[in-house]
Amino acid sequence: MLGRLIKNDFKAHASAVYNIYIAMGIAGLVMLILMLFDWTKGGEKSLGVGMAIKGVAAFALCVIAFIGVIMTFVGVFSDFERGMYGKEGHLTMTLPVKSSSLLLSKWISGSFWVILSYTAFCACFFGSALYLMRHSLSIVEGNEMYYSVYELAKEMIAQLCETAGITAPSMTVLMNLVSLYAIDGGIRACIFVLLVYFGLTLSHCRPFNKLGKIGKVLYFAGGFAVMQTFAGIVTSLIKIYLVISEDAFTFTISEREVEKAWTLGYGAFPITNLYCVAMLAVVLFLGVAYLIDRKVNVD
Amino acid sequence: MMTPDIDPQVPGTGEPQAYGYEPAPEKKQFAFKVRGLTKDYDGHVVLDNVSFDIPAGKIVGLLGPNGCGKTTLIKILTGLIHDYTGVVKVGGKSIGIASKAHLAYLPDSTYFPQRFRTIDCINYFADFFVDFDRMKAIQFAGDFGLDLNQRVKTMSKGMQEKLQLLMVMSRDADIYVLDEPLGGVDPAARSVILDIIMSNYKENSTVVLSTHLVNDLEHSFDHVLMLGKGSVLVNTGIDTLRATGKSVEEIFKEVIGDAWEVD
Repeated sequence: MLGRLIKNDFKAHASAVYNIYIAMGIAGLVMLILMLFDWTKGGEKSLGVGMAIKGVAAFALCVIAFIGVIMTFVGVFSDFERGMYGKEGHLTMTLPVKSSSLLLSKWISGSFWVILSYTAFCACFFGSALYLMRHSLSIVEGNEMYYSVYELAKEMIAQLCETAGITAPSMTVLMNLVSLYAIDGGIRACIFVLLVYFGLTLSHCRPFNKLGKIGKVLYFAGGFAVMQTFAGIVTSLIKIYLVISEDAFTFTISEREVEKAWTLGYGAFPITNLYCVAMLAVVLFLGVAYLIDRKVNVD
Repeated sequence: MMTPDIDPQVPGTGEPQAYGYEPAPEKKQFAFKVRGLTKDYDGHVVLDNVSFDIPAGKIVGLLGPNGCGKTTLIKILTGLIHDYTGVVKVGGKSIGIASKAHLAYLPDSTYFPQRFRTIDCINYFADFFVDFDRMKAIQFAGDFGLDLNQRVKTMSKGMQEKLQLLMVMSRDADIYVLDEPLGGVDPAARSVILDIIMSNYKENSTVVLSTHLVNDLEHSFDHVLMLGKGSVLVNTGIDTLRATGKSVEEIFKEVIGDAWEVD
């Protein structure tokens, strides 16, 4: 049953946001086509025109991606409320399935679309920056000053590390660190979605329904504050890090080892906070499932 | 109000019973068993310590004036409302997955997502209800001129209601709960809808028809449950009512009388 629920929720969310991804695809395509032109042939003026056209296309892509994030958030959360507690709730909530399955399905699908929209926005933003950077670099292509975008990015990271007083990590360590932070961001996005679901669900339970729309925001904010405060307290008491070297991941609770790792060109990732909020999310999930099962009222 | 002519208490509970209460022959013979059900909306009591049994295998008319708590009662029976007090059993089971699997529910408004096409509605029901007859639904859709690829949002209100009814009646459920199936339908279409209901429910299943259009439906009922002023005013078989020599509508008007006004 869970698979069927997920299938339907994916379709529901997709139908709410597919237009924006089509628009993103078109803007991306235009940018790719613009790359095919050789803007250096016409001299500086041509390069300037190219930069302006590419700048507009890149800006449009970023705006579309940003609208995509907003639309996804609105689509996912309004679908949850309408599908569970609105008119469609008369169908959803009378299905012979567990409330935890209903919630899990909406959570998986909602989180997927939220993460996808956020990833698309980041990709569009950084992609556009590199895209414009590449055009600028074509001015000096062929000169001894020439850098590729990759070399430039590497140089920027090295300078950042030098400013921070640490040794620049190798590409393997860097990629592992980026992956871990991406996973961290993904998990926090999932928890964010669940917190919104919690706020929406509580606002349909008595006596919490009395605050109306303001209640939804308050319950979300309250849940978020409680979760972060608890995780913050635990993090300040127990500090666990994951040290990333070229060939191994090791756990440590010693801050001295963490400092040493950074000076050696390794990376370190704080894990306590993420672990705490993930555990709290499990409790929150069970709580929301209980509310759906026993307390919630469909309009 | 009509005078009760039988024992005025529900056996085993000591609670006052409604007019025409019929004692339970056997527990499993009840589609619904409700004890001490109370529900209020911000202090406004809609159902006040209501107790009743609905026998299985009957066509039950759930009657009462607007605002008397019919839809609230249906929402409780179908598991859409949880903040009530009292005990509710559906087919001998507490409200949950098991009761929902055997209960086909038609709400008084459209519950299909607007983006759904007719075929999506059919596939959705086929996905989740094991008692759903897909072929029957497709045939129904054809018979009633519903295009399988037409989206719900492009359908008229009447078509949407028809689609919803066809979905519900394509299930072989033990209990059908239909909330105002004739509510927004013109008189000409009422007989068609009534015919769909009467010719398609599973034999020996219970059909609860909520309505305030008593005249259109009274000939279909085996059993009548009348609500008013938060209480059960009548809960009896149709034969008992007919023995009075009056039509259900006449009894409805007589019984509802001062209960028409809702507190």
